[in-house]
Amino acid sequence: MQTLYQPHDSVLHRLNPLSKLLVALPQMALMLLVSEPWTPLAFAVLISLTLLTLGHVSLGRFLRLLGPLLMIVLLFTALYPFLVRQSLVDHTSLLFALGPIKLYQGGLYIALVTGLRILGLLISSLPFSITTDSADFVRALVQQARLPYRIGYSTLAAFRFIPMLQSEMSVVQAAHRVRGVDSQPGWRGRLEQLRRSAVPLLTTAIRQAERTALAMDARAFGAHSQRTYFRRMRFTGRDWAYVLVYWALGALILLGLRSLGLLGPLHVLQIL
Amino acid sequence: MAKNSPKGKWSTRDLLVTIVIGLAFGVLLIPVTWAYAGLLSAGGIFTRAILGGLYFLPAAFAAYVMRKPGATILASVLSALPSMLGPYSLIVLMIGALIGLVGELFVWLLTRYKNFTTARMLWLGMASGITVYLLILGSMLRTTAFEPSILLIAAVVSAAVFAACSLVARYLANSVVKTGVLANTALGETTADEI
Repeated sequence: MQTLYQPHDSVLHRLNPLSKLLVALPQMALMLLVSEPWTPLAFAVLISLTLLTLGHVSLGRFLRLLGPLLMIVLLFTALYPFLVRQSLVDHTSLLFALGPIKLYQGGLYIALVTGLRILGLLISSLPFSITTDSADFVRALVQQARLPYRIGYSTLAAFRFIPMLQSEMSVVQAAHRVRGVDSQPGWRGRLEQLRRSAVPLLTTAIRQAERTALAMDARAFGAHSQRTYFRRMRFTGRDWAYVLVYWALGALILLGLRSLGLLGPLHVLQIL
Repeated sequence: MAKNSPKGKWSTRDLLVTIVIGLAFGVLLIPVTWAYAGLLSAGGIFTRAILGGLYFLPAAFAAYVMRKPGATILASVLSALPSMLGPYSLIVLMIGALIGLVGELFVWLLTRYKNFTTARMLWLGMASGITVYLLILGSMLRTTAFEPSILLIAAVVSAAVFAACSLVARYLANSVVKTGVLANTALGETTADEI
């Protein structure tokens, strides 16, 4: 299975996955609340520096990861000004007009803020996804976050199915091609196409899951409320130091932006 | 043949089956997730409303097959895992958890884990679609700035796509149950009783 994670011996790699989660989640919540472009930009810089220094991610790889995310921001900025309510922006200067399509400076600003907030949300995940082994994440959830081990270890067991499911999917598609199965036009055809791929995939997966469950039960899985661990995850002082220093840097950024008058109001949920 | 475990009690088989339902749909949804952000930026909130509904498939499928409290949210979160290992990582996980939570709430309210008729599945999809639309678009995309007509159309699209996905999940589950692999699940037992 192709993932962003690459084993390496860096500070971020050695940290407990939950400490990276404790850093990323409040940051992502903040990106949902801000209403100006400076906070997402400042945090994007902080995250980039963290990845390049503590994560030992090469500049080339980082730019390759950042490229598609920047493209999203550009596309947002290009499309959103035309969806913005006109009464909200018609007092700002008109930059471009073609018939009913009008581009206001205010619309462009709102689009840029939305695009940068989305960039902030996406980039906040990178230190976690690049430096965290998914199995270690589940182990930490079980050992530190008190996730019931029956769920955690069942998930780990089922994780092994993902490559099998991906290859099964390719086999099913290849079998359809060999047999010359053509998709019919229209929604009925698409539904039939989905059924043809999904039913064999689900059938194989469920059959495999039942066999695995039987094998696990035969080894008394879940018979005891407590269990021992071959691989122990620990939340050490280094993890606390990372979380606290990062939060302190985040607070400094917010205070700095506020003193410069660049921090706008925080909105909890804007629907109507 | 082993009987399905009582409602509310999870056997290892129930857990594994629910988890692989989530993961199998997660594998099916990987291309959607990779294309998601690009399509989202190109098609705006309408694309989000359409593609967002696809992430409801595993939740609706697991709810319909397992009929146990927790199955909807577990399958939805697990369906995010194959995509979570890509560039959208925690966002996909958050959206999976949100769809699972909303779905679980409406499964409990509308079906009580017992009554999964076509009409109830339709209502389940529509209610979940509207709620997820309000929560995601309200927090991430700042819909306050959009024209009200655009907001209304996107809400209708979201409800329609979630409802359609709910029905597709039911259709797929009914197709899978014919293969016999779901014989030990709540759906399999209901089908056997009907026969």
